[in-house]
Amino acid sequence: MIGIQGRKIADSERGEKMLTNGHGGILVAGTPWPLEETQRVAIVEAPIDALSLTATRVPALATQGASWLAWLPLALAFRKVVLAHDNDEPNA
Amino acid sequence: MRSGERAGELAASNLVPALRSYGAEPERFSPLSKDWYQDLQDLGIEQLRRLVAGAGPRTPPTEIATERSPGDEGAEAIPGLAVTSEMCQEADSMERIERAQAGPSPTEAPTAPANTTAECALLADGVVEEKAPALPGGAAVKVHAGRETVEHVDRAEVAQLLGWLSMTRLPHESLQFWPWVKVGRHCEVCRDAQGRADF
Repeated sequence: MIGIQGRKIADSERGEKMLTNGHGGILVAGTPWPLEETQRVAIVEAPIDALSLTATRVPALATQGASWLAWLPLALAFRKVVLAHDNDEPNA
Repeated sequence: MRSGERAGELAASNLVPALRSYGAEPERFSPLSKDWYQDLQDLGIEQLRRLVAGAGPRTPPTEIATERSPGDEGAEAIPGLAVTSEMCQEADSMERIERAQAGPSPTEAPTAPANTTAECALLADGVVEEKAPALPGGAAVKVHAGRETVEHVDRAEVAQLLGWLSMTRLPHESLQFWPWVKVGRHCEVCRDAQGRADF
């Protein structure tokens, strides 16, 4: 495990809101890490999305949010990268 | 965030230049619903697998879609999936199943997406030619401008650098690639151990 993430319902200025807290790293599903033989990988936001894509035999990395770590592009050098980010508003 | 711009689209667009700078080939492939888990729940594993295996990028980020070489004017980008007769048959059968489950209703809305239905009608009338679905990573570079092939010259340059690296006299310990380790932390350790302030 190289990252951890949890969600909670918390009060905010505009009522209850779902907050996501995580610490570091990415979740890698369907492929060894560091990537060696894998030539095509998808990037998603949530770990559950990575697991969902892995069920369709597509290796996936979850960045735990819409942002990404600075070293990620280097780790994916010369590979085909499928940008499979969410199709909704943040924290929807 | 700009009006009408989704967070996922923005994140994907921001990541494209960084990936390309390292020779990666990014392409946008967004889920049908809000995310892939929702797609999995809506479609089921088999249909999602077919969707992922047989479809190309559907919604390229704006900045990618505008990148075209001067000779590409004739190759018009096709938004959405390339519609095939097989997909039309599948959509038709799904519609019939859902109609049968819901019972007779004269005011029911069509279950297939409107653009797919329209394209199926054009396909059936022979107005448009059937196009094979573009496989992700296929040769549809002109249609989906989000892909940028790494130049042979760039690959050759990297190979040359790696060749030089292999000829240098390195310690006998095996090398391991740790891109997430900060170099600054190493320098601090070295400075403390060796007592040099400007290491």
